[in-house]
Amino acid sequence: MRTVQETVFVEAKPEAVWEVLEDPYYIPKLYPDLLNVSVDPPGKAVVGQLRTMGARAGKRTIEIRTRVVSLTPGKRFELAGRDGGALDEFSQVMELIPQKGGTVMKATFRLKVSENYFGPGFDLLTLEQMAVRNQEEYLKNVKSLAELTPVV
Amino acid sequence: MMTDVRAPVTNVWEVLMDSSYIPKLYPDVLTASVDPPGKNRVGQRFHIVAKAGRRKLEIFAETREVVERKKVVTRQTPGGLFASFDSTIELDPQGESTKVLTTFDYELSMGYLGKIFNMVLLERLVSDNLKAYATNLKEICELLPLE
Repeated sequence: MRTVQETVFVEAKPEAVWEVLEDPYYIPKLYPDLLNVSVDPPGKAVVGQLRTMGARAGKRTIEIRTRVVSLTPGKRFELAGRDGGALDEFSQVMELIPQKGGTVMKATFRLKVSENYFGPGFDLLTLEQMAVRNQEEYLKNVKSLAELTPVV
Repeated sequence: MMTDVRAPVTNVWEVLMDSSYIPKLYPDVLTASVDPPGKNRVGQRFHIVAKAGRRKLEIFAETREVVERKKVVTRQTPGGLFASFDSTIELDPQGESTKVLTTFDYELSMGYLGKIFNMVLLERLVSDNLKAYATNLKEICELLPLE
């Protein structure tokens, strides 16, 4: 099990960060190795929403499954893994704290790559490092997108 | 633009029918939501958010024609970045590979952009995204399943 904890200052209001967090259709842009996402029910995040992501591991496609555990709009967002995907265990908690000039975003990710899913022939350590790298890029990308300004 | 994709037409079609791939296909597209949700079909409307520098832009479009595993035509709807936009993707199956012909025809909306952007740079950005589309489509379609 790997744990990633990071705190990022976003030069945008919590509402702008939340807009990115709650829209599952940003997911392929936020994670370098995620390709697509399907959500049930469709639309913005709601508690219980099921998410299935297609991703690449090298030249292979894999599947990652999550669900929305809890939401406090503008403040806290929690996801957990679901059975059957590439991760045996997964949790993600994002907390937003307003501050002068922007938002402090605190993120905690826990993940464990599934040995049964990949089978022999795959280097689990490399896959784990790839997953961690994706989570780190996720935070940078959330910040980057939340800081964009609209044309009008 | 003609692209040779080393994957059967079913792979390519799966990507074209799933709007959630759009942010992966165009480098500067951030998110794409569709109405009604689900698989691409005639009448499905797109609301796309993209970026140009540090600005967010909107693009509105609608699927106008779908010929199963052969053709998808998308056209701009009022508002957003484009005054007009027509996209045609045509597939020519070649056994285990597919020839993909992508055609984009567009005009930027001066009214929407106002005086914020350097139009030459924006034209270049749009052009780069449209060129990247074919490359990214090929790369994604050529990925192999795990088993």
